[in-house]
Amino acid sequence: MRLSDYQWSHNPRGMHNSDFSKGIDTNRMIQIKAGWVKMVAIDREHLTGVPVLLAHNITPIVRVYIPRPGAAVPTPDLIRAWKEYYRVGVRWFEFYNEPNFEIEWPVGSPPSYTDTDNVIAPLMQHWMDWAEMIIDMGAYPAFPALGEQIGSAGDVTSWLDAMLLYLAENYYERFRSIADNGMWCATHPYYYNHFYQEGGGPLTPRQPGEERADEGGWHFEYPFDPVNQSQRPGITTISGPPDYPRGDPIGLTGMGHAFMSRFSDIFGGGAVPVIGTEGGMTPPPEPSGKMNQADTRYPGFNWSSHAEATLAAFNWIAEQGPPWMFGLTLWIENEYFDAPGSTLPAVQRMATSEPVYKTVPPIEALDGPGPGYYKFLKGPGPIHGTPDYHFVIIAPGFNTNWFFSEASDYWAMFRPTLLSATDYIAYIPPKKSLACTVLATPDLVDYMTHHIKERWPNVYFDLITATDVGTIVDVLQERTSSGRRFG
Amino acid sequence: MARPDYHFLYIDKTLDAEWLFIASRRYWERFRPMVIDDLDLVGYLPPQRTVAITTLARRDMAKMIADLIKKTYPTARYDPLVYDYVEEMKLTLDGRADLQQRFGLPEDLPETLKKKRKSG
Repeated sequence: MRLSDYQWSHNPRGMHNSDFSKGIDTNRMIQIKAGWVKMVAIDREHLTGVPVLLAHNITPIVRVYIPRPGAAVPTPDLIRAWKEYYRVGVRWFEFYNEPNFEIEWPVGSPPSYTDTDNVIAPLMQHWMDWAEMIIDMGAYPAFPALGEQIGSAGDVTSWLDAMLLYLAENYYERFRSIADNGMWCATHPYYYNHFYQEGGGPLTPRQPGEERADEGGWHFEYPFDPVNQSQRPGITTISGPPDYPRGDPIGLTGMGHAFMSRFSDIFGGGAVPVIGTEGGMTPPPEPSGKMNQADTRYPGFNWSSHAEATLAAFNWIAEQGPPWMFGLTLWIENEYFDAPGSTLPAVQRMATSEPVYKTVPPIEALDGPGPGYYKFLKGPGPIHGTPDYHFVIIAPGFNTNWFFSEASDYWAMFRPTLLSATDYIAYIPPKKSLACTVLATPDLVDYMTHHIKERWPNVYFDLITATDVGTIVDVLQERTSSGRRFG
Repeated sequence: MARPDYHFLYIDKTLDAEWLFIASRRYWERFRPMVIDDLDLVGYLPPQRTVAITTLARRDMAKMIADLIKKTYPTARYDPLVYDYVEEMKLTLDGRADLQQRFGLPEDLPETLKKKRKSG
């Protein structure tokens, strides 16, 4: 299944409902021009609202609430509820929610990622049974969202590793099949103030009062943004310098990136959709104008700048975010609409701003070749002098007309191998070396970097980014005229 | 016949860029084969991966290439196209692109897409 095959609004803007005792307030979701709404249901109370949402191009996500489920199997009534929601048009479902939090487990049985027999194994086994049932219905099951806590028995990246490694060691093919038939990954990105808008350059953020959603220069890619990388060079969502050996996923796309990294390394992904089904800046702003600045390296946010940054985050997901990042449902409806004294300014800001729709490239859920290969293959070896092979890789979504209209002389001179997928790289043996020239649009730079540079560190990574054909002309002509394959 | 896991488009080093940029453009855009001029790259794939090799050749080189591929990769699906002129090759490849026929015949889904579920 390809990333572009999933059915949704293509509008990343979303919100999480709050009053779980009554049906969804469709007017509020329509008012903010939402593309997603996450609905926690006690029972069937949202059935009548779903067609209204769909008629307004709002894609519903449903989680039927059960208290402290632990790794419980669904009850017959729960299964009936999912089927009823499916019949009225719901396709996106969640079941287990933040299983790394004690509040989600029976009293007296706090979970730990180190407890395979009593926690990880039953959780993953029952989740697979559920996911296959949802797929058989014709819908999309969520890989469980993990609560973003660091350290302790609930450490989020340790939980992610424990869950995926258990699946790899015990149900490798079965999990790949689920991933290839509609799985998506739910995350809960509460990202504090881990974002900024450029002022005088990439390392000079604007102050909150100067931020404008409609202007460029936003950075929501934490931990990969210039400010963070300048202070903690090389840190990723799963690895980093000695001070942060497990990386830092606390950003808008952080846990999505962490999931995709592990999914790629262990299972040969590919990409599946990621949706933040809770999250946003935290804590919520206050009318007093108090500045929320949990991380002092970044500007804070206040009552009014929160609105600009909220809108900017959705536009960034649509225009610059990773292709797998489909959106975020803000936590939580009552904090936005029923805040003390007023609705948050973000509500009005969204209500008066048209959504930006996301174009999704046709990336396969599994771009790897098959069971287990990524476990064993080391890929190309180090380059000594000149690489043995030179690939030109056209990234997903790159305009092939630019290549075919302008690359003829370059190709004639250097005769690189031409391809559009990266999985073949795994098969180049370590005794051979490889350089890859990657043609990509700016929005796919992170994705291609991850899929080549991070996965195959011996590969010489020669990135050419372009938003117009003129850039391609300039770069390739310069290389051809100078006789330099890599510029 | 099912689609292979990997599809190579071999353009011999002696053929100039027109064979890719004119003759094969629409074909490549439609099917995205891996364009190679070194057959060693085929040999790096493990035996359980299915492979097809489409070759573009003039008549003067066709037999040599065919012999080499049949000898070196006997299990690969071999799809030779032999024309002396770029324009003729383009007509054939464009036709395949228009008809959505990678090998000039209606094709089946790859085996990996047919699998629905398999227990661990």
